[in-house]
Amino acid sequence: MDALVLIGSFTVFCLIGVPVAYALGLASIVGAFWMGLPLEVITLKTSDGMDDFSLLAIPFFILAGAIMAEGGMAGRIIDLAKIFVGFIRGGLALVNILASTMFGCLSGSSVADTASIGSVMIPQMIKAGYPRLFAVNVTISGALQPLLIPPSHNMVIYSIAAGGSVSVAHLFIGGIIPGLLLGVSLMALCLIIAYRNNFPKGEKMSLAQAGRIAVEAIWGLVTVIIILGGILSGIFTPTESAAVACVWAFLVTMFVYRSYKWRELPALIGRVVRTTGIVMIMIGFSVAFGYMMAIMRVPALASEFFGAVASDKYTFLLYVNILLLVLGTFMDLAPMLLICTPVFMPMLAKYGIDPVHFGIIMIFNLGIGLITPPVGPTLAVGCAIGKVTMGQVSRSIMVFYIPMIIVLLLVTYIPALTLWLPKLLLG
Amino acid sequence: MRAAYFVAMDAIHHACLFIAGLSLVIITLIIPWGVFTRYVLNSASSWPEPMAVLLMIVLSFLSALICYREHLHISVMTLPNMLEGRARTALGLVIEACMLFANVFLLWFGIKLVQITWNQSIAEFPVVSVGVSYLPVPIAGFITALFVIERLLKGNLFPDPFDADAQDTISTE
Repeated sequence: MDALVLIGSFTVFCLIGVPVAYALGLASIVGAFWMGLPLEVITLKTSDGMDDFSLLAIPFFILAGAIMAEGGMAGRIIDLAKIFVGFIRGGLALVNILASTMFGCLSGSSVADTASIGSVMIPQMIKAGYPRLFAVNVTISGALQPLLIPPSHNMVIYSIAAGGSVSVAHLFIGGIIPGLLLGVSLMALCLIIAYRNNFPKGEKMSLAQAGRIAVEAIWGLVTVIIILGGILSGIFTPTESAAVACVWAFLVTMFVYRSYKWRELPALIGRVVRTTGIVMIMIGFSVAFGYMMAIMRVPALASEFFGAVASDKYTFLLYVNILLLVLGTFMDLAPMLLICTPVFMPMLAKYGIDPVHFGIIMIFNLGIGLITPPVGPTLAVGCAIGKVTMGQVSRSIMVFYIPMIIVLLLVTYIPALTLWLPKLLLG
Repeated sequence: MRAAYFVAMDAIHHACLFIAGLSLVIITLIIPWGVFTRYVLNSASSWPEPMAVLLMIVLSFLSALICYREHLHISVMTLPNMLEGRARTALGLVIEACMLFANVFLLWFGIKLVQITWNQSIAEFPVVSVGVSYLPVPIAGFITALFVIERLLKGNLFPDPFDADAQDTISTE
C-alpha cells in the first residue's frame, strides 16, 4: 500500500501535467506524510542530491557540446564525413549518419545533433533529390548515436541514479561499440534503400580539399581526445576532463574557427543554464524520491515481482526492454533513467548482469523513445526542421526501427559488445 | 500594480539568469585551475572543488526557477493537450496549485534547514556556514512561488504550441 501511494501519486501528478521534476518532489512529500516521516527529510535529500562533485560533469558536457555545435563544428564534421562516404550511392544519407557518429564525440545530446546536423543535411538531401521524409528519418535515427558515444551526459545521470557505484569512465568506453554498431547498421539500411531507389551519388573530393577539411575538423575532434585520453590515462576525473574540454572547445571556437561572436556568448551560456536547470532539479527531487522508494521497499517489491515472472537473466532483460520501450514513448530519457535505475539496480546482482551493460541497454532503449510519439523530443525537432508532421514520420520511419531493435537485442544478449572494450582499456 | 509586479518579476528573472550564468562560468574556470595547480604548480588547491559544488547548488536552483517561468521543465502534456476551454484552464489551475504547494514547502522547510545548520561550518571553508549551502533552497522556493502568482495573474498556464527554435537548443536529450 505504501508503494502504491508513492508511485500512484507520482503517476497522477505526471498525468495531469505537473513538471516531472516537481511531480517527483510532490510524490515524495505525499509519501513522507503517509509514512509519518519528518517532512524536512525531503528538502534535505533534494538539496543533498545536488551536493555531489561528479554532478558537475553534466553542465560541463552540455556546455562543451553547445560550444562545439553552435561554434561551426557541425558544418566541418559534415564536410569531414563527405570525404569518407559522400561519393557512394545514397552518399548524403551516409554522410548524415557518419556526421552524427562524429558529433557524438562532442555532444551527448540527440536533440542537439538533430538540430545541428539536421538543419544542414535535411535541406541538402532534399535539394539533391532525396525524399523529404527519408531525409528526416535518417537524421533522427542517426541522432541516437550521441546518446551512446562518449561523452554522453546521460551516462553521468545513470551513474548518479545508480548511487554513484557505476564508473562513468566504464560507461563512456562501454558505449563506443554499441554506438558504432548502430551507426553501421543504419548506414547498411540506407545503402539498401539508396540502391533500391537509385538515389544520387556524390562527387569524390580532391586530396588537397580533403586534407584541408580534415585539418580544420581535427581541432574540434581533439575535444574527445582530451576527454577520453584524460580519463583513460588517469590524469583527469570525468568531471575535470569535461571542464578542460569546455575551455578547449571555447578556445578553438573563438580563436581558431572564429565562427562565433563574443556578443553571442551570453545567449549560449543562458541556454546551457536552462538545460542544466531542467536536469539538476530533476536529479535533486529524484534523490528524495529514491529515498522514499527505498523506505517503502519499492525495489524489493519490484525484485519479488520480476523474480516471479522471470527465472533467468535473458527473460528478465526481455521484460525490461519491453517495459522501457513502452515507458520511453511517454517520458524523456533523463527522468526515466532517474526513476527506473534505482528500482532495477538491486536486481542486477541477482541475475548476474553487469551495471555498465545494463546502463548501456537502458540508454539505448530509452533513446528509441525519443524518436517515437507521443513524447519524442528528437522526433519533434526533426519534424520541425524537415517541415513534416509527426504522423507522416511515424508511419515512414518503421523500417528504421529494424536495425535499431536488432542492435538493441545484440547489445542486450551479447554483453561483450559493451564490456569487452572497458575491460581492455580500463581493466 | 499588476504591471509593476510583472516588471519586478522580469528583473528578478534576469538577475537569477545572470547569477546562474556567472556561477557556470566560474565553475568552468576553477576546475581546470585545480587541475593546473595539481600538475603544473605541484601544489593542488583544495578550494576549487568545494567552491564548485557550492556554486553548482546555486546554479541548479536558480536555473530551475528560470525554467519554470519559461515553461521549459519536462512535462507529460498528453492530458492537457486533449482538453480545451474551461476544462483545460481548470487543469492548469490545479497544476499551478501543485507548483505553489511544492515551492512553499521548499521555502518553509528550506528555512528550517538553514536555521538548523547555520552554526555548523563547512570543513573546507571554516568561515562559511553549512546553512549558506542550503540557502538556495528557500530562496528558489520563494521566487518560484512569486512566479506562480505571476503566471496566475497573467493566465499563461501552458506553454505556447511547439517552438522549434526553443526546442533545438534547450533539451536534456
